[in-house]
Amino acid sequence: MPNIKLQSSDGEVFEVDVDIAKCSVTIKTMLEDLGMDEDEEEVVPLPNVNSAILRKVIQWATYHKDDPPPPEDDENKDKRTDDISSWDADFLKVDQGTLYELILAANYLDIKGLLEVTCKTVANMIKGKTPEEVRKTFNIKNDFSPSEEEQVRKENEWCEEK
Amino acid sequence: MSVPSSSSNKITDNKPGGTSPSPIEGIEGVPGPSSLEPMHSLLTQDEESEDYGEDGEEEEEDDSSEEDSEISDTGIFCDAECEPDLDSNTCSLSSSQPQSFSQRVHSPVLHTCVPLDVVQPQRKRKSETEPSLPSKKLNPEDKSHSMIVKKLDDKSKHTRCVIPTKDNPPPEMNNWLLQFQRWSNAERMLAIDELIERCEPTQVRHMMQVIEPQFQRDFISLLPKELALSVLAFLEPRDLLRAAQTCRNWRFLADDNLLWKEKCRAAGIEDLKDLPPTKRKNCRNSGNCSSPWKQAYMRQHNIKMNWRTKPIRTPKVLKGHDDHVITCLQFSGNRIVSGSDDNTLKVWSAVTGKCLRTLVGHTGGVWSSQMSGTTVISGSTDRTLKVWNAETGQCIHTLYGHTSTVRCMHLHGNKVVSGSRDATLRVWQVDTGECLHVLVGHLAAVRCVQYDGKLVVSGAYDYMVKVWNPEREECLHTLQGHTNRVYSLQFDGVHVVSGSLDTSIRVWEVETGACRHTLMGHQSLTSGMELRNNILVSGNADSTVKVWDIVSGHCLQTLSGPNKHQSAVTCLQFNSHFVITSSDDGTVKLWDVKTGDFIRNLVALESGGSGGVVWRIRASDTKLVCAVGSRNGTEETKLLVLDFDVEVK
Repeated sequence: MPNIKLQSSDGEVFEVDVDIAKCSVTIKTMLEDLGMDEDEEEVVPLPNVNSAILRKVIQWATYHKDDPPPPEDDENKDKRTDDISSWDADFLKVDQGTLYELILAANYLDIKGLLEVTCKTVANMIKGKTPEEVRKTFNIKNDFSPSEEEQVRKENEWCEEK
Repeated sequence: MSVPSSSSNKITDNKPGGTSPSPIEGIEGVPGPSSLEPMHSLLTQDEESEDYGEDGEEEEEDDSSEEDSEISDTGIFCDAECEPDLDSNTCSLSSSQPQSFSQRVHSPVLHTCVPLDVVQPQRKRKSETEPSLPSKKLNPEDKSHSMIVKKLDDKSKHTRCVIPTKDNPPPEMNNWLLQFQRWSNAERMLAIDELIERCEPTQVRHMMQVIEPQFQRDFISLLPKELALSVLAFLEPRDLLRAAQTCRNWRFLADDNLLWKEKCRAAGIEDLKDLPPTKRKNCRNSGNCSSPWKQAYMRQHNIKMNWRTKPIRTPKVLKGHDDHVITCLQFSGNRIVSGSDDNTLKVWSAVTGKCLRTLVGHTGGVWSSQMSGTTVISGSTDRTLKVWNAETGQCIHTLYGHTSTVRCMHLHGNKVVSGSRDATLRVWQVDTGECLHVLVGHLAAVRCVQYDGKLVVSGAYDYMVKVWNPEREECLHTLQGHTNRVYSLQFDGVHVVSGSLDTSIRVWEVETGACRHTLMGHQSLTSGMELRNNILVSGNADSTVKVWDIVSGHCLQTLSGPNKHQSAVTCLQFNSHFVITSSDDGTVKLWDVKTGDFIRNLVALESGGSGGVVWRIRASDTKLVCAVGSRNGTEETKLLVLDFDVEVK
């Protein structure tokens, strides 16, 4: 397999199998649009991804290189979050800052699978928590005035099953 | 044990305490190898009284602290000291020779940082074992150590006793920080490691509290909106509601209209028409309008909860038809129409519960009816059908032709098909009252009929089910198989489902007339059925209700168990959540269609079991109408209207 070189925002160059790199639609399009030949020694600059994150992204893409392509329309897809593979779950055992940057990178590089699994991971951090627990988890300041908070609480009351 | 007990002591400690006396002094004193001793003196000078005071007090405790300092002497904590000078590629504390410590100290190169480093290791050890124990005097043989220890103790005491603030920092802190800034990354790393090493657990905990937030990300507020929304899209409605209560940013995003539109779609809410306009207005007025789709979702959820768990509001009681039987019931919009064997029908308002009209004209009991818009059609033992205007109460047409009781009918568009004890079916044009077709072929009373605008399907007491082309008045299929009277039918254009006194239910293919399944399990007459999306619910005189998949022919649920009906099931209705069933036992029960679980009784007549029965039920999304009464006078004939709508505040 031919390799291409990806350069992170901080200047580090990664040599990656072309097929793996192409799981990023952004890179794939770049290669096609720019007519970059696979045997050319050109370096693809990725100014929005630092080396630490790019390394993670490549690690993810390498593991998932043989995944079937994601379905086109996710309009009617189940929004479940309990289907994260154990490898992905391990891979995403990172601090929130890293997870945050991974989401941005997955979005920028247009890697659907990675974006989905990172978003799911964040969703799972929210699920089942009270508003106060959510605030604690993400270091959010409660900026509601007391009356506002009461209003919001009423508005979002969830009638429980028994 | 080590904390100075006298309050005065603490107070004195305070001033210098500003955390840093020791480190800074260290720095100042650094000048060189020998600095340690001077430092000592310097220190004492600076802090004069407290130090002395401490000295005095703490001497007693020396013995215990001695041990600690000894340990620290050889402990791994000293290793780190050598690193700063080593160009410090590593910050690991764990490397090596304890002895290097003193050497280090004397090395000119490090002088700035060393004292600090030197100090901590011991300190740390000490603090681990006896956090507050000052240990200045311990090791006479190792002056530097003891001196260091002392300093540390001072420091820790100070932190404990003083409340420095940003505006009032300990005077030496600035230098300390400046020094830190001067260092290379590796040096800083090391310094941090060392600093942590000699912090007390509470201080480390404090560090964590300060540092942790730096690794937290408010994803929802920080991510671009569309990414934040794709995170939120993975949340259940319930979690979305909680998220909305977190802060303003989250609230804004968690109320996103498209997000809720998606939740609605998943919950089967396809449009907003159910949303009362008043509600929308209210919400606009209050200035916190959440998404209309969210409102629609919440409304449906709250209504569902009203059915399932909320206290049932007192039903409206609509009395009429005296002590006669209500034989048929229609409910659409805000109109209820009840037909009775007292020869009349009554039109009621579902909102006010008032009887608006009594449709008088039949000369025999009314046994079947249909309603569409303001048009009501009734069939009677007087052998006629009548077409009524429900608003005016006027009888528009009387349809003559049948030669015996009109027992069943089905309205589709402008045509109604009636089945009679005379064994024939007739197709009528409703607006003109004209009889279009007569379908002849059954050999006994026609008991049930279905019409989808193209085909007519009929079930009769001759055990047969017939499929007709009404225009050509031709019987396309005679579906044979039942071994007793056919009482109930459902037809979805593809499948014919017939319920019989022979206890079986049969599923037929209308195209070929083939019997696909014979659904066995009931023990008596299947009196009522409803078919939606290949799910069939059947109510039986054996007092049970069953849920079937008519494609596979499997029985999915049997609605029975300890809360089952005590007598024949008279009527039923279901939607995607619930099955509602009524019975001769005087109850109306609510069941979970998916799990088959009994949820609760919606109605339980006091006269149940002693004569009170529920003859018919009809439900909308928010209302339940029950026709109840008795044959023995224990329960007056009436309609009960239960409201499960969200309450208007």
